[in-house]
Amino acid sequence: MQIGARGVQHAGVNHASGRDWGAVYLAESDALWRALVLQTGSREIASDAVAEAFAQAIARGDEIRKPGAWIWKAAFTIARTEARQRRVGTPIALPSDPPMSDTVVDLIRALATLSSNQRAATLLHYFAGYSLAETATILGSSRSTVGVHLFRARNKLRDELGADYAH
Amino acid sequence: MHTDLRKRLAEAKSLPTPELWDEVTTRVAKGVVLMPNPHEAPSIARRVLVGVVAFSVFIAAGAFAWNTLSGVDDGSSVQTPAPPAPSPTVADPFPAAPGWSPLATPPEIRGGSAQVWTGSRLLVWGGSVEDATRSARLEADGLMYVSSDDTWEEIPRAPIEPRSYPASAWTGSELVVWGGWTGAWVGDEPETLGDGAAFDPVTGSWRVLPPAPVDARAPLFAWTGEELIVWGTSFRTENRPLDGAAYNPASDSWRRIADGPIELTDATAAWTGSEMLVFGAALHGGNSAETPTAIGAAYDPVSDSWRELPPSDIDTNANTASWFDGRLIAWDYAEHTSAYSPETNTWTALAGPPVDACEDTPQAVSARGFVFGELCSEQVVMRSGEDRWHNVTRRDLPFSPAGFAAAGDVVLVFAIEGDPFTQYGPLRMFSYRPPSSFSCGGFSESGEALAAAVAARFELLRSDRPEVLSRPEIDELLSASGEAAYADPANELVGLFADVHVDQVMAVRPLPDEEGFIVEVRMWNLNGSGEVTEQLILRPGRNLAGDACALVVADATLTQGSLG
Repeated sequence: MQIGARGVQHAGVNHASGRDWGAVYLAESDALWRALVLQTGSREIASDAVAEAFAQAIARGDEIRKPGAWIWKAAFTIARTEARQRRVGTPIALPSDPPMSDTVVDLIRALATLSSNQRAATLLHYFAGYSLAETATILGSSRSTVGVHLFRARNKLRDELGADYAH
Repeated sequence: MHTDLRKRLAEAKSLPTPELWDEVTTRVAKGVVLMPNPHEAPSIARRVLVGVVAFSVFIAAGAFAWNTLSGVDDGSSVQTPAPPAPSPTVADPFPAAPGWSPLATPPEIRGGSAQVWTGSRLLVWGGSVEDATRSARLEADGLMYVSSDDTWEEIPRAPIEPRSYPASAWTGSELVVWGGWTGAWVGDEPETLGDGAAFDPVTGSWRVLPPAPVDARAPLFAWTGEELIVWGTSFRTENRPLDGAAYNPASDSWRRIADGPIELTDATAAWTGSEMLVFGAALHGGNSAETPTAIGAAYDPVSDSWRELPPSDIDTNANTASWFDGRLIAWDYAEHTSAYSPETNTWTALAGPPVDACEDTPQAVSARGFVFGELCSEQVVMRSGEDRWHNVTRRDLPFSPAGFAAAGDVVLVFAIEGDPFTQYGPLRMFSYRPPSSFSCGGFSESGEALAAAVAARFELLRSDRPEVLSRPEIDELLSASGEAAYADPANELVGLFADVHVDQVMAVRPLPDEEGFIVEVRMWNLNGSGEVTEQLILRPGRNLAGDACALVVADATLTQGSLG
C-alpha cells in the first residue's frame, strides 16, 4: 500500500535505532490486530495496517517517544482510510476463514451498528485500555468528543448486546 | 466503569492472530538491517522489556479500573469540597482579572491527594504521582502553595503510611487526614488504612490521631466546623459500611456516629451548615445500580440521627454534588442537573450543563460565589443566584486540565502541557475567576478575527455535532504559521475552537443576504490522497449555554475532495 508523501517523508531514517522493535511488536501487535479486525471487519486490512504501521514506526526510529501509542494511531488511521476506500467500513464485513466463535461474531455485529468514530473510540478505550485523553490523541479528536462517542456507543451496544451486557 | 463491556470486548482475544513480523521487515526500506524475529526465542532482555510493558499496561489498567470503579478522577480535584475555612481569612490574594491567570508552577500533580484551602494556602498531602513510565508511587509528604508569595513549599513526611483518597479537613489551624487507600487490592477489595494524622503549617509538625472507632476505609467525609465526619466508603466495593465516626480536634477524640440508612459506593458528601449530605448510588462492579436514580441521606450531628432524601432524577452511574447557595447542586454525565433544598426537602430540576452527554464522571467544587465543574475536560460554572450552568471557554489555557480545588473566590486549576503520551512533562497552575458576564463565553470576534482563528488551526467552536465535525486525519497536519498565530496571545483565540482541525484558509466571504461569513478551509488527510475543502458557515447565534454570540459555527459542510 501507499502511505503518501507525508507518510514516507522519513522512510529509511533512523530505522536502525537502538529501540527493540521486536519487543514492541510482541507487546502490541496481537491486540492491535484484533482491534483492527473489530474496527474494519477485515483481516486483510488489519494485517496490512499493522505491518505498515510498524514499518513506518521503525523507519522513524527514535523520533517516536511512545512507540506503542504511535503505532496504534498510525494503524487505526491507515485501517480506517483503507476501509473507506474499500467501502467495507460500515457495515463491517464478517471474516469467515478461519471461522469465528458465535460470541465474537455477535460482538462484531454489534460493533457494526456504531459509527466509525464511535467504534474506534470504543475499541481504543474499552479494549485497548487507553484513557480518554490518549484515545483522543490517537483519533485526532478532543477528549470531550471521544467522551460523547463513548457515551453514545455504550448506549447503542446496550441495545445490541442486550441482557448479557446490561450496563 | 462499564466492566461488562470490557469483558465482552475481551472475547475477541479468542481471535487467532497472524504472524506479520516478516511482512514488517519486508516493508522497512529494502536493504536495511533485518530485525530478529520477535517470535523466535526472545532474549532475556527482550523478555524483561515485554514484562515491563505488560506491567505498565497492568498498572495503567489498574489505575483506570480504580478511577472508574471508584468514580473519582485521577486528577487532584477534591471529592468533597471543603467549606470556607473558619479562620484565618485574608484578602483575596489572586489576580482580580476574570478568566485564567497563571500562577506558580506546581512541582507535581498528586492524584487522589488530600487538598484543603486554609484561606491563604493550599495544602496538598499524600496521593500518587505518576512518572514518565506511568508507574505510580504513593507519597506521605505534601506540597503547600503560598498565595501571598505565589510559591510552592514542601510539607514534611507524615508519621503515617503513604496513601491516596484519605478523608481530609482544614480545622482552622491544622490539616487533618484519616484513612485512605494503600494502592493495593486484597482480592477484589481495596486495601485501606484506618489511621490518621494532623499537620500544623505554622510549626511544620505532624501529630498522630488517636485510633478511630471504625474500620479502615477510604470514606466519604465532611468537616462541620468542629468535627471531621467519616462515613461509609467512597469505593465501589462489595463491603459497604454503614457506620461512621467523628473526630474532634479540640478534644483530640473520636466518637461513633449513628449508622446510616443507605449504602453508597459512588457518592459525594457535603456539609450544609447543620447536616452532612451524602449523595450518589450503590453500584456493583458491573456498573449496575440498585436504585433507578441517585439517592442520598442527611446526618445531623446534634441529634446523631439520619434521614433519607427524597428520590432524585440524577443518573446513578456518574454524578457529583456540591453544596452551594443553600442547595445541593447535583449533576451527572447525561445532562441532568437538580438542586436539593433541605429547607423544603425537595428536588428541583434545573437545566443540564451545556456539555454533551459524555462517558466520564463529573467533578465539581464550590468556591465563593460559584460552582466550578468539569466533565470530559469541559468546564462549566454556575454562579450565585442562577439556576443554570455556563460554558467556560478555555481561552488562554492551552493545556489539559488535570484537577482543580476551590480557593476562596477562585478555583485553582492544575494543567498539563503537551500531549497525553508525554503528559508527565510541564505542569501549570491557574486561578480561574468567572467573568461578570458570560455573554458568548466572553468573546466577540469580527469576521476577520474569526477567519484568522480558522486560519490559525483550529478546532471549531464547540458544536453539538461532534461526529459530523470530527476530522481526525488533520491532526498531524497543522501549519507552523497557523500554530504561531494560534499561540499569539494578541489573537485571543486559544480555546475558541474544538473538534475540527484545519490546515489553511482558502477564502472568507460575507454571507449574501444575512450577517455572517462563509469560511473555506483546506485540510489534508494522512493518506495524502484526500485534499478536502470544508465550508464553515458562521453567523450570529447562541452557544450551547444559550448565550448570545457575535458569530458561531452554524454549519460545516464538505464541499470538495474526499477523505478517502
